[in-house]
Amino acid sequence: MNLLKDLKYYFLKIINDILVTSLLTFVIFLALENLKTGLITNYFDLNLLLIIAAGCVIILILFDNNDLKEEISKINFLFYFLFVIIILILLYLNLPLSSIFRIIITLIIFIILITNYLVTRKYD
Amino acid sequence: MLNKIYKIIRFFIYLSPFLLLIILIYKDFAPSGKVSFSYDFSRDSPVITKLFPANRLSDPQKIQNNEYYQEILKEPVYFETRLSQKFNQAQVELVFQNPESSLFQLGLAIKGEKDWNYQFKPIDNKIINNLTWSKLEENGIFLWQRIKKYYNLKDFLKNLNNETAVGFYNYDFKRKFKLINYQPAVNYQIINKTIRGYHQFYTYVKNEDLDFNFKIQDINRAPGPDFLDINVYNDQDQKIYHQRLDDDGYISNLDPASAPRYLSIKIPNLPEGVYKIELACEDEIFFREIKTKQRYIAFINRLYLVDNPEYADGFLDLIYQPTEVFTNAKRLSFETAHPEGLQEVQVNNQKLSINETHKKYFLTVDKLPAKIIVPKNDLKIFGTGLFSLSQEAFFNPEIYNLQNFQETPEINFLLTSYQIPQQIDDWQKTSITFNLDNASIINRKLRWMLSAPEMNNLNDKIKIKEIKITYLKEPISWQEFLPRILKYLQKFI
Repeated sequence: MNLLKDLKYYFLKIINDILVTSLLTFVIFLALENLKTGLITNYFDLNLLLIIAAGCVIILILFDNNDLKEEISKINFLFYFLFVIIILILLYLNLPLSSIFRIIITLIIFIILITNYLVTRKYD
Repeated sequence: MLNKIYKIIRFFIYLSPFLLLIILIYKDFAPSGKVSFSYDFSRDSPVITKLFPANRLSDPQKIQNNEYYQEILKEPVYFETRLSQKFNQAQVELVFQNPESSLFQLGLAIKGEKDWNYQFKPIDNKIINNLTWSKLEENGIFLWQRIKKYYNLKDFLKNLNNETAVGFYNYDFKRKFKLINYQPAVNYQIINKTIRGYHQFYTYVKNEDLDFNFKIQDINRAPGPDFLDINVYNDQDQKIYHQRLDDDGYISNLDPASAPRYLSIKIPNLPEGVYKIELACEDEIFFREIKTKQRYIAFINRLYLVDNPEYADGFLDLIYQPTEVFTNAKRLSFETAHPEGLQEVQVNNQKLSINETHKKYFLTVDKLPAKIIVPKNDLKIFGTGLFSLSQEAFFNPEIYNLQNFQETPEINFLLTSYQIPQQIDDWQKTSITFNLDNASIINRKLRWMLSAPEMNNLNDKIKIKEIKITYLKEPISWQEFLPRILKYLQKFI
């Protein structure tokens, strides 16, 4: 039973890492795209990163884990929930990457990520 | 143990964006010298825009699973492609259906004096598709022979200087057009047929001045000033002369027609060759007389004849006589703007009734060159080809760079890079290559035009299923790779 519990714990930790990585990658790639239009989007659909992130959030919400919850705070879950809603809106609207609305939303995501990290980080 | 596995997996998760970025930079850098993008109407492409303007197009239609097409309802339509870096060539591949239009072409926006400069290449040319001549192909170059004489291209090119009846279409040929037995005229010739508005014509100069005198009148039927710009271009299409005639001072539509004014062009010491003269003006300007020392005058694509009582309110001395026009254009169209211009036009032995105003009437000429008899004038004549007001004044300097191929007696051999589209089920597929040296690049984008000059009048519809663009440049060798990639990455710093 303990092994199963540990497996679930690490699985959710991996999902959490994928979520953070895909979000940060999205923001960095978007910045690179603005530096040189087409560098990313000519060959790669940035929406994929948002879809991966949304999938991760759904998994994290579905597979509730108390141990992990200690690490991923309630603020995180609120943020994740909002994030899924924003991604769905973005995907539904299919806005171009250069649209002001999309850039503003991306900046908000970035600020929330940083704030979230600062609030929930552990002090050794 | 699980913690160790987790750390390894986490390492790869964190590494993956860097690997992805390296792959993307490598793709964008295109060391192989080749990068392709396609747009199949099922979803947007980041590199190829949607066709526009939307009002000339249908919505994308579904054929079956994930296969779509879009219909061009009116021409021309445009699209743009994003350039990731400097490339030498662009190869455009199109999958399409063109049921009727005799010519469907792709244009690339190029640099030039005017806002609207396109270099056109044929996508589908039905005249060549249906040509029954002998065909020979080598390395994408096609030699069509009326009577088979050559068995390979090498022999033909070796004997090219001995062959006179050779036409070049969609083929970059650098031979200068010369009339070997040309002698300058002794006397002036006077063309007293009145023509109206914008015209371009070719003429030929050898050991003589370029000498033209125009008698001009402004009918003042529309308000506003009317200017006339006369431009002369050499055979390299470089402008060598410009002269402007200002407005006559009458700018109201209630003003009378102006008194005759005269404009002379005399350019001495020109090298032998073909010159193009452009009469750039609105339809308000009437050219009442052209007096010239040049033997040849061949109007390009358009002739607007106006010796008709419709204009008696402005000009009392028009000559109401039928006009004979000589042309090498296979497909002709005619249009009049006034009831006085309704008439029956004769082209060789074919007759065409112009029964309605503001409507284009088409006719495919049975035999070229053709003689057109216009009984009442007040008629615009259009066609991809040349028009002269006498047989003696006709010549065809476009033979080395044909706008469109026509089966005329003056051409027995045709050299072209035009390739007949490949038939795949119900669709046709073709590939056209453009050199990008002279391309107009705005915001790192190329602009393209899809045009079928006749389709708007034929109510024809052209379907496009896929547009694929491949950019080409010299591949980068391993020795060049490091300095070139460093230079590329500097753009980000």
